[in-house]
Amino acid sequence: MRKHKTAIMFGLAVFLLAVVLLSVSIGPVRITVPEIIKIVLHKVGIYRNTGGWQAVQESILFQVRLPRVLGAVLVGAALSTAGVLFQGLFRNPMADPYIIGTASGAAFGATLAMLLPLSLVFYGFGLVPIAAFLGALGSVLLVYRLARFGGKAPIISMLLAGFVTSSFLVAIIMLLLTMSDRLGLKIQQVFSFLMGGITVTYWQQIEVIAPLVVLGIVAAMFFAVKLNAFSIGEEGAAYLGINVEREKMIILGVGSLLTACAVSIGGLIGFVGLIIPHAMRLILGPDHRLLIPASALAGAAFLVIADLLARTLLSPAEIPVGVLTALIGAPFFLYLLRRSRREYAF
Amino acid sequence: MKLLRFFAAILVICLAGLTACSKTSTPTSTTYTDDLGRIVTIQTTPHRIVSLSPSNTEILFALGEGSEVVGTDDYSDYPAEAKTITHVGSAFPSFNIETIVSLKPDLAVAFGYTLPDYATKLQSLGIPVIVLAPKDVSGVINDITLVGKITGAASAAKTLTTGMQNSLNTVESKIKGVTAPRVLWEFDGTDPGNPWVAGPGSFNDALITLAGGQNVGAGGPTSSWQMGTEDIVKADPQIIILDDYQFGMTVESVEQRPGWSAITAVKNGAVYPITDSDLTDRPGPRVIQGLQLLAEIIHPELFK
Amino acid sequence: MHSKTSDLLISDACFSYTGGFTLNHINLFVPNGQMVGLLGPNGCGKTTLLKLAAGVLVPSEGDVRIGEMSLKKLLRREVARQIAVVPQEFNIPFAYTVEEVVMLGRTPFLKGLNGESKRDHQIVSGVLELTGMAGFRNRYFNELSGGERQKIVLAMALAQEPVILLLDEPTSHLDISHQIEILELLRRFNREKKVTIVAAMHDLNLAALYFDRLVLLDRGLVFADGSPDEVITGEIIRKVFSAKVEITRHPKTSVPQIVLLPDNPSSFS
Repeated sequence: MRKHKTAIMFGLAVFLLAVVLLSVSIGPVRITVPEIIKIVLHKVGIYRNTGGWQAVQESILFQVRLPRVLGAVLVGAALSTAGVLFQGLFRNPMADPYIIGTASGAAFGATLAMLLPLSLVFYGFGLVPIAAFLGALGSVLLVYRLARFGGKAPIISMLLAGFVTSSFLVAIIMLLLTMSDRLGLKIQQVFSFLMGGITVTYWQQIEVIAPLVVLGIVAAMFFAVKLNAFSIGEEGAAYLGINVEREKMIILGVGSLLTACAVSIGGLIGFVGLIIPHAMRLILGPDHRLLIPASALAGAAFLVIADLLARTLLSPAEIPVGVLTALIGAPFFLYLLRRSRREYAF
Repeated sequence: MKLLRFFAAILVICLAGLTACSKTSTPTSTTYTDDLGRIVTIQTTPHRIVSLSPSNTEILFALGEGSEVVGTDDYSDYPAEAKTITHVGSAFPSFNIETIVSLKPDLAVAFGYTLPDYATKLQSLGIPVIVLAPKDVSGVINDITLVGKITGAASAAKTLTTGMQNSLNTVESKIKGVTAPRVLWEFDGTDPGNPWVAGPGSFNDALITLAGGQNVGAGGPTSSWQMGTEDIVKADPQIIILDDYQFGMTVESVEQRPGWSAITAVKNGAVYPITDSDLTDRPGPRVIQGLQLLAEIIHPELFK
Repeated sequence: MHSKTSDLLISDACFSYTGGFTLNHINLFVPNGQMVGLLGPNGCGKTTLLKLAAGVLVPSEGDVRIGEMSLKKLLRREVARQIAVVPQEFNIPFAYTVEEVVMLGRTPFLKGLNGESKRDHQIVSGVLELTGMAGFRNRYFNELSGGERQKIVLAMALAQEPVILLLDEPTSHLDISHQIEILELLRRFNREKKVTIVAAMHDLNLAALYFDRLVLLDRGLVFADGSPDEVITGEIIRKVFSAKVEITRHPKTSVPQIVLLPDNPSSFS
């Protein structure tokens, strides 16, 4: 399997495109794939004929569906890449993007924003996603500071600090909720956020997040070789010429940025950042130069599918995406594990 | 012998006297059935009442029982006199049971579609609890009648409910046979792509139907749920009601939401804010005003 | 950038982890091409000294140089191109093949997104040959035995093409035959490629057999430094290890070998 690397990458890219097209064509307002292609080409200026589709279809396609599906692509890619980074850094295949407190930080920011009677819109982002983003980054910084001692921040300390910070923030979230007005509605909103769901309403949000995610993934690829070196431990990596503390900070930073981006448009979607890197590693091997781009593509496709199911299975109600990622992800992952039992003999 | 008979006589007289006394101090107790089907026994006409929801407070005051209300929840604010009454907490996070008990009430009027824990607690402390859970305007009318009976204000209740029923009948007769336009009731549009809307079984859903409208949110899973933009566009409401105007939602921002320009209500400028949500959201005596307000919005040709 | 010579000089180096002294004004000069064994009881500072020599720890006082350059002035990457380390423990929680692990040794030379060059592959092949592990190329590292893994780790360090090779107890978990194999490899490497070798050893006899020079540390100080004859004496061993030994000669090479003396020899016959 490892030998056909380029073929697999290409296959993943094609699969992603196909899945995006499929997802964009499904919804309460029917739009067929040929119609999609016509509308998009027309918008871009290539296809001159109008007619062949309705105005409402064009409106829904561009204003509702496309932003949402692109949002799913970005969130899936960002979470998977962050997962690879954290699994490589922590040398732990059970690490996920939320491991050092980004989840509770984001939830904390989001809850605060939901409780404040402010409303503001910045590039299409309301207060909640902005606060979630800042909360995610803020908590990582806090965890890093807490773990740092004598110029170094050992991995174990970060894990512990992450756990402590999470517990603390969760407690404060609960406290804030009990003291709030309109508690019934607030609980519903916080629950929605915690369960995860792609909430992209404006193109501006894509315009802001997409470059950040792409930048993050490209940066991650530059660190692929170093992550390979980290596989033998921080000490071993130092012997191989890695400036451990500095690289650790950068990798953590990139991973946290990607996670924060994902959280700002998707809430707390779990499982993707854990199992996609895992699955890709089982199929393609642990070389990060391949693992990172493959995970990004596979994660994006996975989340597009999950999002599609989330909004169609119980239509018009929506299942939270986080529930679906777990429901699909768990059995699929078990299957992969059974097929490759040699991977985790320590 | 004579002494014995003497003492026996005194004993009998004392016993008779005692039973006579206790008999006169035994009040007549009545049983009532509340909205959850609970059978509640109330010993005497209550004179110290604790109201555990704003709608209950309004009912009590409308029946002229305001002076007998010794405690209310934190959110009771109508009429103005209610604001000065001792607060006892609220459903979320919790009522202050101790405060309630310290007021020595002989009746607590609660609100809830399922039996709240605090109701059981208060009952176990010897305070009778009536739980109200009206599903629509008729339900409110029944509740007012019930509360009137319990508090000894039956005639005030009769007057109030008759007026309410008349208004209700008037509205009903006017909308009879008239096509019901599609209405969207928005609770919270903080997430503009997925606003929380009134679903089936909600009080607002009943209100919309009574006012001659058709709730597009009635196809949802619960009484309050998030309806996606696409589903709203597909349902194409002719009227949109903003119940979140009280939280700062504006008509302009709704009209500018991506994808919403295709909706009939937006195209026709039929997006209406509710300026006083208490009229439509509180299942109390003023709900008739809320109904009339709604009817005017939905059928302006019939109610102006 | 390489130094003019690749002598290793540790001058007056001090280091402590917290509080007390782990290393106390250590001076050690290892000229290019020498093979030195570091000896001493547990906690004497062998590992710490190796880490100072590798540049991953910075002495609180004193300096470590390779040739003319102080390690403090070099980037981690530059140091790794000259000094390679075979650590005591080595585990990888992911399923890398043997070839991939050895290729990790080329990390200090790989640039950005570029893949490995032909030369990198040649070096990896060469090093696998040298260690006799060419046939294991596509096996999974985690499936190998202890001895096989140690050889691969050595191969990885050799792939760095170092001028100085540091090893921390490279034979401690191995069977006798593997111990000999590793030491033979090191000796060959030292003789043929002129690579300076400094290895912390726990087995005094093997150290005497394979190393030209022995440095004995005791509680952060250099207690003895010289040829096996000079360092492996009953007196010194008793002082440093608190063990009673008798010194004999190796039958083939006549280097000193210690024979442990139990407390009560008469109870044995």
